[in-house]
Amino acid sequence: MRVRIWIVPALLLFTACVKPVTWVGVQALPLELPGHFTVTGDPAFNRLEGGDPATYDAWWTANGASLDLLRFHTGVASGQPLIRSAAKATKATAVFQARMQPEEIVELYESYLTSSGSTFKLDRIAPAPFAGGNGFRFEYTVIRKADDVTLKGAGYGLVRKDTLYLMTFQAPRLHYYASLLPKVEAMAKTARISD
Amino acid sequence: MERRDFMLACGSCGLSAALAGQTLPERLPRPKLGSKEGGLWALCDRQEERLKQSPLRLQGPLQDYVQGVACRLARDHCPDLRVYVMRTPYFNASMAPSGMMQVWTGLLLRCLNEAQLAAILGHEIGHYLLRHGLEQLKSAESRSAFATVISVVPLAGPLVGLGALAGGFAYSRDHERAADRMGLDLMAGAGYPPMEASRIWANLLEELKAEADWSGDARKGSVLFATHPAEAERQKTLETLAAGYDAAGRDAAPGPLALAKAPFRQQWLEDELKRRKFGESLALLTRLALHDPRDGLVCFFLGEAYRLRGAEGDPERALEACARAADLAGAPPEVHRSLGRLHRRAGRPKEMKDAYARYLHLKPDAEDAGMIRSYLEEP
Repeated sequence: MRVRIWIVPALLLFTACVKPVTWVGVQALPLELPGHFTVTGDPAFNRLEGGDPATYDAWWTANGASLDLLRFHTGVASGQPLIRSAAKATKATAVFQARMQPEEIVELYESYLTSSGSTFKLDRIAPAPFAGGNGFRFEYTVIRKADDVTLKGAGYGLVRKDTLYLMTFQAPRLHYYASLLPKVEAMAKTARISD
Repeated sequence: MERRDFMLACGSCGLSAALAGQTLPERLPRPKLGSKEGGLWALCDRQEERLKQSPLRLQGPLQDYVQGVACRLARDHCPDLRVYVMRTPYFNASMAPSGMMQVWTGLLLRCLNEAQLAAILGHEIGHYLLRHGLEQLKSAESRSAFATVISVVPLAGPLVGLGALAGGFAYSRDHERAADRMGLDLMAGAGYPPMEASRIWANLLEELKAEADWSGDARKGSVLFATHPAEAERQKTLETLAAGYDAAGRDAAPGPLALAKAPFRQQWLEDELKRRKFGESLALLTRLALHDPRDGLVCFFLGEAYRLRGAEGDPERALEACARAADLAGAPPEVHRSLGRLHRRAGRPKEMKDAYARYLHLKPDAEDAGMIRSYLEEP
């Protein structure tokens, strides 16, 4: 019986300590992400707040994550998984290495996107400035296995001081990609890394 | 036909097929829409409509070829079977009770001859002729699972979702064994050597072992879905059963399958490596290279598997395989890009520039041409 008496306060304490993961509106202000990476947000987007930064990458969306998704994989040190996850890394985990060329970084990202059986086609990759450095920009097409929807994507990356900063956006080819890409491009131009 | 009569007919036709070997049951009419089975057919139809529209569906000569092999096995049942080839890099085929069959490209990639493909298709047709799908769908759990398949629209998710999409039916092990037996009968009836059925499972076992040796975990994200009897037991049983058939005058027919796969092999091998199951992929590629040592495409992808794995000694293995592939017929222009990457990483700028220049010469409009040109301009 004594145990039962303690259940209620224990649950209340637990509830008070655990911060729920929820979507909140993005403000048109600089927002800091892991690796001293800042980007000025666009109020059209919402961001997922409350997750552990050690195990979740930042996800932003304007219409819902299955319709458009902006992801930030920032401050990834050499030898770390490209995608932050609570799951234990295995030999199959895509791990960033500082010596990788941009196309090899995209190969890693590609393996993440296709792990669910989706297909990936790289449409273009070229050098491009990003976050104050000589980075790269790429475009791709994905056919999502779960619902057969064709998605277009764009990514921006930079390796600075052996650390990776990657920002990717994808949305259905019809309507959503073209309508949101200008906002994403504008946000990418505001990206900065502070020492 | 009422449900009870329908199920009795299903049971008896399966029994007759199993007993009579080559005598197949009569074609089954579509059940009435108002019956429970009719409702399940309608669910299957919805899924089939989705498959028809899917951008992952491969049509044309490859689809016609696989459908043709299925028809050769199923004989009079051919008009009731509809095969859909889906671009997915896992070893899987599935059969719905309505006659809708999915064949995934990871399976086609692994078949070395038509007889091995016939072994898998024969197994799935066995499920259909023995009405296993209907028996499964009598349970609420299976109906729920299948409904999930139809309604599931997750984000790029884990392989659990992919497993659901694999077919929605998890047959019992008894069903799997009965379908194996029926599959061998169908293979033999169509003139294929039944021993090829055990060989394809032996090859899969080899891949699973290689993955376990490399990563220590052969199951997570494996090319094989765990809905079948233990692979080793299955391979041995198939081998024993196949020994009971007369082997004389049978043709495994490697040529027609190779011809049908040719336009897709590069894409399927690229998809294979994206799974990052390098133990499985290296076992597969080594097997394919042994099958045809002069195949430049396979030799290139063997090099790619080593380059992407990046373990100790892998860059050297990758360089050796890519250099060999570059001299073989069938190697794509990308072999020179990989050589450029490997030389760049090893600090050999002259060799890097030679390889990248060769790549751009062969593929001037490459999607990564801008990136490659920036490397050529490096001091």
